[in-house]
Amino acid sequence: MDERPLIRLQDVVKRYETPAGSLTALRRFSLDVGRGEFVAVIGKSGSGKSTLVNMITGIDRPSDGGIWVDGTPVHELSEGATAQWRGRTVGVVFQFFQLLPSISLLDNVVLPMEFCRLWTPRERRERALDLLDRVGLAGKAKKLPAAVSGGEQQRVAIARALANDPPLLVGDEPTGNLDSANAASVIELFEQLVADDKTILIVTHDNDLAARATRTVVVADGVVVNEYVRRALSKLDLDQLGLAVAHLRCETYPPGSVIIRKGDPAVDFYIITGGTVEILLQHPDGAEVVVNRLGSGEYFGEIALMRGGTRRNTVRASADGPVEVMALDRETFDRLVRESEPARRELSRVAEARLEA
Amino acid sequence: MASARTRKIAGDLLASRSRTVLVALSIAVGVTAVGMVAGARSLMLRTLDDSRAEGAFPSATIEAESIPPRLVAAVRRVPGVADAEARRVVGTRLLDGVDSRDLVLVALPRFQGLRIGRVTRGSGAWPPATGAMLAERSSLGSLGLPVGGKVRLQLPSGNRRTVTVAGSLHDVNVPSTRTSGVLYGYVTSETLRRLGDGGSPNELLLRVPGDRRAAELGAARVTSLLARNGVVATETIVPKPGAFWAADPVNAMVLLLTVLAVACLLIGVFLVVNVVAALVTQQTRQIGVMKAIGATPRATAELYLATAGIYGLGAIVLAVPLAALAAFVLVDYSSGLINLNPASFSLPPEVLALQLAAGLLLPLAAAFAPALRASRITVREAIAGPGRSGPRGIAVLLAERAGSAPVAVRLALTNVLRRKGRLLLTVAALALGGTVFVAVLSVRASMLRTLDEAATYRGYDVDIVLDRAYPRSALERTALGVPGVSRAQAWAVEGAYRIRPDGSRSQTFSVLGAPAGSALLQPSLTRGRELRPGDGRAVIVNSDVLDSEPGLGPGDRVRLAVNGRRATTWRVVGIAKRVVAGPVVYADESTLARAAGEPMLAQRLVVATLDHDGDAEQRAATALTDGLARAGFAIRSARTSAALRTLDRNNFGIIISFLLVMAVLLALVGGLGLAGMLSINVLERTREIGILRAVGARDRDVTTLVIAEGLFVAALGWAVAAPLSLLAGRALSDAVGRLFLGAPLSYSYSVGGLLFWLALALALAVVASVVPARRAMRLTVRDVLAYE
Repeated sequence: MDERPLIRLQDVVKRYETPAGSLTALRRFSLDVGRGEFVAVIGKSGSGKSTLVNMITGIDRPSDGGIWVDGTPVHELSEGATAQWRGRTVGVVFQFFQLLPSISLLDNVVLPMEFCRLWTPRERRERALDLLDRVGLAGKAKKLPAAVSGGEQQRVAIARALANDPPLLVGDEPTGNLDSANAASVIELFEQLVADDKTILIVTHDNDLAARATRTVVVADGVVVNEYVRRALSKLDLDQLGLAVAHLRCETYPPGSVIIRKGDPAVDFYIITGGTVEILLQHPDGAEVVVNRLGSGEYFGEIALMRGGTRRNTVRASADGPVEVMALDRETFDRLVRESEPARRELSRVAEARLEA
Repeated sequence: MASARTRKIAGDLLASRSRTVLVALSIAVGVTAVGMVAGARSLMLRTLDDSRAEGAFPSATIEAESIPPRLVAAVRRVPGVADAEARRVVGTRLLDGVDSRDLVLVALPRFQGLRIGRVTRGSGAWPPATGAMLAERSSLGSLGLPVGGKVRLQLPSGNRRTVTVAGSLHDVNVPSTRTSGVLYGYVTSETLRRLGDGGSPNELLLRVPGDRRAAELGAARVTSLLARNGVVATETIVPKPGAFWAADPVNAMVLLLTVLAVACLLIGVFLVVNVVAALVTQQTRQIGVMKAIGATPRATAELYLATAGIYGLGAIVLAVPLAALAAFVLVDYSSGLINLNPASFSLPPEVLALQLAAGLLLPLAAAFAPALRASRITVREAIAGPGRSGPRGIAVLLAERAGSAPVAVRLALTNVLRRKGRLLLTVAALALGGTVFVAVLSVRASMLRTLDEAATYRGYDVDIVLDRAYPRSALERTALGVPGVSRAQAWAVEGAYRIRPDGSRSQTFSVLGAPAGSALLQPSLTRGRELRPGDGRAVIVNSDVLDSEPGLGPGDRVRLAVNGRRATTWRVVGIAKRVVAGPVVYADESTLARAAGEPMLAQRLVVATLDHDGDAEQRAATALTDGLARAGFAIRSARTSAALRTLDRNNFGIIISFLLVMAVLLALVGGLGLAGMLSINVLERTREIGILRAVGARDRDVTTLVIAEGLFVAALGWAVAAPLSLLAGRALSDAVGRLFLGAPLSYSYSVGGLLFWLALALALAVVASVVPARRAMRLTVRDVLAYE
């Protein structure tokens, strides 16, 4: 099995020039998606997730950085080459189905095969019928799109996306225009496709859909939210997460170095994104004892911030290796804690548990 | 098996059936017009070729008073002359109750086997028996007699004889009676002798191989031979080789048809551009989707080019048979008018190729720019959508400065100005249609004005041509003695040829000698001035003279040999419009008489009557011919001005009717173009209409808005057409005049036509806007707001 990621975005930047000035939609965005993954991309409006999808499908081009899909440097393809590459490699599913209204459902599915000159005319029709049958609509093959429901149209759109047997399916809000029942049937279809070794990347606001994905990528303010940050701040909503991401600072500490010292004023909240930290407790005889070790996705520094006062413990990078942390300033931390009841409860619970320990 | 792409194109065309039909029809009219012009031209050329072969047109015709038969054989031996035929042509009067008409009686040496000036058997005995005549087929109907009926003829001698009409023949060498007003009858030489005219042949038909110069040289040698034998040529006619007498009017019609065809085609092309551009705009999202699923820019462009191609194919299927039929009908009708047998119908490959090119290549070319735009739309633009573009430029200006105008009016104006490219094309199509429409009607008005002015050429009411020259004073005295006659002038008519600077001789022209400044003869001058007493050797030449003597103008000096005498130098003082067909030179009577060596003789008598209505003129003509005949004067022909005016009107009337048909066709095509473009506008505004209705607009409000847009566009197109039509009308009038009359028409701009076009354009705009608007309003607001 090919271990290379199917999708690789490396330091992708996308800037738009608008009458109001330059707008950066993606900031040094990096992402790998492996073969067979079912990835849900979530983020609030304007976070850059649609731009991300457009980069992957070749619909848009990066201002900087590179995009490889199935080994092809998409950012280097010409317009014409992109169309053909996309037809064979990526099946695109749109929010509003986007079937061509003047041809039948069958012809809509045949069309990509014609454009990419794959299979003979007879084979195309047979294949299209098979695909329609797979989505449960073979009996309506000759109907025009206007004659079937929204859910049925979206299933046909999925069949069309599969027409050229691409390794990757990309959907931008594929259930955004469907009722819950139809949305559920579409989600089920995606799961079946994943089981058939397709790689699926979906942009969605649909929590049910996101929950069914094998991996969730959160986009906020033009960057991928680090998974560990996401895990640590899992109780924040997307807006709050975006606020946090906008204020996070990446800091690196060499092995054994002190990150916070007991008695220091509480300034920042820390989320571990790499390495291990040691929580030290000073013994009455002055010796320092490691009372806890925290790893990626865990956080520290919340106790003094929430309860006031100075740092109660010293925290240092373990001797095993350097530590990478994302530091959040006090003001932003206080605001988030104030605005997010679930986050405050969770932080309080952890703080409580640590204090008792 | 049709591909999905083919079915998409078909589906798109069927989704907007009315628009598809409109576009195909618009192109079809243009292709039909092109095919009709080209097909008619090809068919007419073959008709002329066949006629040439049938009639064996002479290279030159020489008229003289009497040509001894022995000279004919000598003429055949003149260097350069391949053959010669002689005949006697006598002008008679057909007596029809109180009226009389000119009938030219042609005595042929034989009916079968003529080598020049052939006639073709029609009906009845062949050749006619002694005492009988065969009428030219175009004259037979005019005679109003069955075969076997009798006609009473008055010969120049004054004798009256009865002749049986024994049948008909076809003589392609003479104009049809309908266009010339002259009847033609054909008899044997024996019959003519029995009628009392036993004279020798007076017309020689020559066949001279080579170009016109060779023909002139041959004719000159023959007239010299005749002169050496005491025979004076009164007229020598050397036509352009292969040219047919009706070539100019035919060319005038071809020119008008070509203008029509080009205008119709262009309007159709503009419509294709707009329709395909609108289709691309409407289908922007679909284009994005197709590119997202693998369509290359080229494949995208091909889809829209194919759509245009199908419009063209549809048009061709309709137009090719229609054009063939129209060409045949036109040639059949025209041939009948000019007395030819139309050639057998065929569709020349080059005509078909031209129609295919016009019907297919032009729409493809028109669709190229929008198809290119489609190919360049990126997926991101198409699917993300650049957003509806707001008004810019002048549209913003209007929106901001329209002041207290109702919002609906301001909305209508900004909508129209939002799509400048489409507006430009729509206005261009309307302006083109309007320009040509008004120009065509202006040509009609100019023709009528020219006709009226031509009437002033003839200050006389009756024109009598004598069979030979008589003393002027005797003629005038006799005429003045006839009741109803107020004035009479006898004019000399001499033959003269020009000795050109290179020594060559021209054909022999008729030179008309009238008193300088005579009120009875006022040639309409295009350049120079009229003849004045005391001018001496001065001439005015008509435009037909310029055909063989190009470049002559006022101030030029020419050497003329009058009546076969020694050449003298004359000064050209003016150029006159052709009123009488054929080259005519005008000179002062006494100067001409001296030059001809025939003082005080005249061969033409013109008379002004007391009353000027047609009946009074006819009564006077009959009385004059009777009186002159009794006094011993031999009359060749007698015509009233009323009859000539009627004839001119009839001939012009054919072209004028033709012009009106053209105008109607243009209105139709312009209307189709306008309807097509306005319906696109409304279709694109369906969503906007839905929004208006969602915020409270009534049907009436929406209809008013849509109509306002249509009226604005129609008015703008009319405003552009108005000044253009003034120029185009003059250009077209000049061209038609030169072809039809040898000189530009007297220009008259059709203001009525301009106003009619305005009314028509506005009415069409209303209809073309309301119909699609009503369709859009039938959709529910919900449907419309979901419309993409």
